[in-house]
Amino acid sequence: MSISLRTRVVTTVVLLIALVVLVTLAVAYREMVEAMYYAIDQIVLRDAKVVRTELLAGNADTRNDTQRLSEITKVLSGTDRIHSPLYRIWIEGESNDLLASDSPSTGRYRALADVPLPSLAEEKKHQITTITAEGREYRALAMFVTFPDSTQIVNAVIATPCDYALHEIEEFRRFMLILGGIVIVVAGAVAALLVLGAMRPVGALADRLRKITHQNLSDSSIDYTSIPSDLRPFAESVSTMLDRLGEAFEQQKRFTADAAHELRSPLAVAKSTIQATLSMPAGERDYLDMARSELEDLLRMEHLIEQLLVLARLEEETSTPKDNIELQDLLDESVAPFKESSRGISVVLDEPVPQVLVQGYRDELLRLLFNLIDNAVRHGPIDGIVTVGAELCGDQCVRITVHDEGGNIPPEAIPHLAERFYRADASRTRATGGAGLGLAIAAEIVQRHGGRIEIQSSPEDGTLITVTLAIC
Amino acid sequence: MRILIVEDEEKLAGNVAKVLRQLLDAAVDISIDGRDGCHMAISEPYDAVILDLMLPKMDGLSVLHELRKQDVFTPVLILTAKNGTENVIAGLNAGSDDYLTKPFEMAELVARVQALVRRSYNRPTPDIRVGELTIDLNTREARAREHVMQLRPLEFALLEYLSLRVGTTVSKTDILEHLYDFNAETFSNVVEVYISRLRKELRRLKKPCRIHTVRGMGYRLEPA
Repeated sequence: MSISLRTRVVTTVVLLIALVVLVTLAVAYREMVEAMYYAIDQIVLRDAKVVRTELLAGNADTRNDTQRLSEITKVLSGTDRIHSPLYRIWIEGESNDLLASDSPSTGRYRALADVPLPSLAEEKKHQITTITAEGREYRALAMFVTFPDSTQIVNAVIATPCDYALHEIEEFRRFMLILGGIVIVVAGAVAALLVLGAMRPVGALADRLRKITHQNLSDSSIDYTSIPSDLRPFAESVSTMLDRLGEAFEQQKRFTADAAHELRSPLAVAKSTIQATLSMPAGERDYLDMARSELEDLLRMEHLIEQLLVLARLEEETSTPKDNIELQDLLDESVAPFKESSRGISVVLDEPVPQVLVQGYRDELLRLLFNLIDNAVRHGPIDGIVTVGAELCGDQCVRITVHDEGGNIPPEAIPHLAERFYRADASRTRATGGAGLGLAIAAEIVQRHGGRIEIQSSPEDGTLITVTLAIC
Repeated sequence: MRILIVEDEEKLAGNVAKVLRQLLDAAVDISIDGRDGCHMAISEPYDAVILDLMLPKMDGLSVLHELRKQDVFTPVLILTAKNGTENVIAGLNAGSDDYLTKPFEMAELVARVQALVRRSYNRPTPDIRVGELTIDLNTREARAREHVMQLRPLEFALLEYLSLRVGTTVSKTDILEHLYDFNAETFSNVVEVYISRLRKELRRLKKPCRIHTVRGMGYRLEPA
């Protein structure tokens, strides 16, 4: 099962925020702990300095210990101290302490004995260590004092409890955990809202798309105002896709409707002929007339169905490779069926034809030329001339022209001529024949060959259809 | 009864005309383009117009609009290959009286045309009673007391026309315009000939009703 995009985005955002918050808090916590220990160590060092100063205040000979020690006691247990320090001062080699803060029997006191004394060479060097006594933590410093005029060495160990600092650290940690939790939760919620908000138009779009069927394709426009700008290209491409589909569908529907209409007309004629003959007393001649008339209608329908099939087939993709066809052959073959054409129209091939090869499908190109010439023959004036010609345009292509002397196509009709079932005068009169598919088929074939078809028509110059095809 | 067919499929129009002439003794004119059809429908007093929609020069709906704009209230039946409810609605809303799609049944078309004509003369039923004479427009018979009038098609057509307008005086021109199509050659006294023929038959049936001559105006069919 795939995890939804929303969940993924929200989870990622929350995890990232949590990571940042946790790292920040961890660093802050470390700094805080360091700072607190540093502060305690400063106190220990200050105490040590006092002790040293006081011990050195007199000289060893004076040995006015009592006075000195009372000074030290006064300093170490001064009123400005919140935490009672531990201390022990004794003369090297003697077992009795000069000074002790507490009863020697307590664990606190014993812990002081564990603090290692610095070596003799390191008199000025202070190393602060952490000791634990009776469950409390202390920072302890061991030191010794040598007197310049005596061999006597006085040792001292001073320890300051860390309770206060630990308490502060603990409080800070708790505060940070709560704050971090809140930040993560709030950030997660905000991220989720943002993501959900950002996704809503997509959901809405999906809802809209779900409701689209082939019936409402054309009126399924998408409201862009609610869609964030970064999703707009997506929405737009969906919209244009729908438009394209709608158009194709519309076209298909129109085509089917047109085809049905075109088939229904000859059918209606055929039916009416039969019914008219049957509705009244009729002799042999009437039936013969009816049969002849029916045959005519059937041929018309057959032609129409054939044309429709040609169009349908032209729309299919073909994988067969194109042939190289001699233009001369192609034009000769196209003109041949019209050598004895009706209505006194003569079809003339304008020689010489450029000796080139055209790339394409032979059958289709023949049909293309047949349709164009047939059109010209049917729409040109009686006893006129239809001229078929070809000329090179550069060394890439050839222009094939079919000209008739008619030229009565209204200018506004020209862009529609290649539309299916289009007839220039909207006429359904069959005098000029055709189902209105000839030029549509021609245009389709030209398009399949990557060519171009142009139609020019004027009463003075007649109608000229130019097909441009690539040569090889 | 005179009917105009505006239809560019000449063969179809010819077939319909043939059937209408045969079954309804109608005078039928055909126009194969919209513009001509429109002119004809305006200038001649047709009883009904059968109108195609896709026509050269002027499409059917435009013809219909033009007719109604010119206050021509002839019943119009649209006969087209365009089917689909929206087309039918558009056709009826444009002022047509009926709509039939191709391919159609000839008998149905005839019945619809008949109904339209009857309705336009305010005769909902196909048998019209004038005095003791019953004129059945469907069977195309006129009878009184079990006796059938022996009439030729045009004579019946005249009786039909007079009976549709029973009680009103119908002029000679009016009669000529409703009995003959555009191309018919008529003689000036043809109406008188048919009227006397009708009167003779009525007399044979012991005068179930009579045709009254209104001098200088025309004829009137009325109960005896």
